[in-house]
Amino acid sequence: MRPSATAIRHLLPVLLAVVALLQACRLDDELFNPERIDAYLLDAYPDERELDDLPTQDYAVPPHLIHPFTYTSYAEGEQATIYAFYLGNVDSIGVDTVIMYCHGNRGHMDYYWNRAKLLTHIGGAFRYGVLMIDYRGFGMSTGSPSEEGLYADVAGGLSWLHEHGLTEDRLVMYGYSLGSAPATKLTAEPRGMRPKKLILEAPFANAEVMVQDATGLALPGSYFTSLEINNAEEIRSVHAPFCWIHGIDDDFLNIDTHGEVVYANHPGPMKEAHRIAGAQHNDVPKAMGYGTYATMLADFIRRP
Amino acid sequence: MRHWLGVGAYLLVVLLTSCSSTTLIQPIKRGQWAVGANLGGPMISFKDAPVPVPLSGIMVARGYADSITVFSRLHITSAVFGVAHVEAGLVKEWKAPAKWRPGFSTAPSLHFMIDTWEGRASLYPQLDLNTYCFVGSGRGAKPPDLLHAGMCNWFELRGSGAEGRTQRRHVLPAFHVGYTLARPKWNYTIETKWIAPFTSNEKLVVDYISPSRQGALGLYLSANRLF
Repeated sequence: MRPSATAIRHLLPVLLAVVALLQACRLDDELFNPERIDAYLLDAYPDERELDDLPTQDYAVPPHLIHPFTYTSYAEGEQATIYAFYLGNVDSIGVDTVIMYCHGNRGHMDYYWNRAKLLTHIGGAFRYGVLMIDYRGFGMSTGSPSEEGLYADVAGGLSWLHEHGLTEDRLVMYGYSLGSAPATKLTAEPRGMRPKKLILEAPFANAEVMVQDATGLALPGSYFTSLEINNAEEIRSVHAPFCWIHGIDDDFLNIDTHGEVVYANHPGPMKEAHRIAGAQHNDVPKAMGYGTYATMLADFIRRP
Repeated sequence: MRHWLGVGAYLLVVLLTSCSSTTLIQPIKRGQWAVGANLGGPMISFKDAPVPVPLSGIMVARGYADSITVFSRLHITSAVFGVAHVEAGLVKEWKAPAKWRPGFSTAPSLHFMIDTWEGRASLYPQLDLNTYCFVGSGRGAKPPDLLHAGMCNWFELRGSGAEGRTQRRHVLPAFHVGYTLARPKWNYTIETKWIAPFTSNEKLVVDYISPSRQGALGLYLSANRLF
């Protein structure tokens, strides 16, 4: 017996309609893992955070060197208020070297607070200023996360530094994981100051690599995402000295398929690689030892 | 700890059908129609809980001969993500099961996918090898239940992948075991698969659940209505 022709006639349009309505789902929003909060607690943040065993006394930052501020950032027609912390003396930005730290996709700045403190102790206590921001949709920053938002929000932070006297010869860009996208993009295609040096920790190559790693098949990245983040290609346009750090045991962004590709594509000649034995995705400084990590970065930043 | 849990989960959702349920184990009768739906997928750890990814599809099949059934399947979950994915193939029974002797069938099929965003198309051949036996003898119009096991193979035809890297893996196998509860007009199947059992599941954005550090376990349900 054949299925009822009437049933098929009714069922088919319904199925097509469902498919047409639903096909807008994309991976894009899942790239971001923000958490909204009402206040930044910094050292008092009680929940899990990165580098939670950082010695509190050794890496303390006195309150007068913690400068919170906000600025407005525009991306794709959306205006967002971006929350930021500058660690260092704002009055000496005109002479200091500053690290723009672009954090990963987890939560908010409280989660990465220990990292920011650690960076203030590179090359000695408060040798370098550190700027960290929450991208739109993260922490207290308003708006919704987006790829263009990442670039615009970090560019906004760089503008703030420039307004306070920073010049590009003293700007060091540092991107970790998701933060490798704005760090690489704004070094390759500056929207103001061109960073003097670029540091990438556990960078991802692009979405297609991620997809193919996970599926084992050579599937196109466009099946999953419209994101155009492509550090593997952007890095080809970066001529600034480049420091790449990646955990050999990174269980999330495979060092071979992501980090090695980004490193290989940097045109050089001034580039250095640090493949960290025993380190996973989020514990490179810990695996290296905080002192060793700080010395390695200081050497890179100081090198002419 | 996964920083990009969402990424992993969604990648799995659209891991497409290298991980979907087996379409048909045994041909239906000549001239008979079957319409069915399937749900289930690889198991992942999501917020520390094991969950099967909800891959889904609808299938229509037609008995071309008593030993050959042709079928086609539309993959709904892929469509949700903007990837039109259809599968067409046939199942051929080489040896029918007897009382104590298992039957054997093969099911070659082709998967065609194209995304609605950039129009990039893919073609994946698949070959299933199935063995099965009846459980019980059935009563009246009720056929006997079916216990089945086998191997499914996806074939990657591309020679290179992202960033020009060489595509070394051209066969993605999976092993499956399942049980079909047969009714006169319906049958219901529960099935488990070990997908890509020879491929490491470490250092990926996805937390696969597997008995080892290889591949992923899958859990599937399907229902077919016979006409």
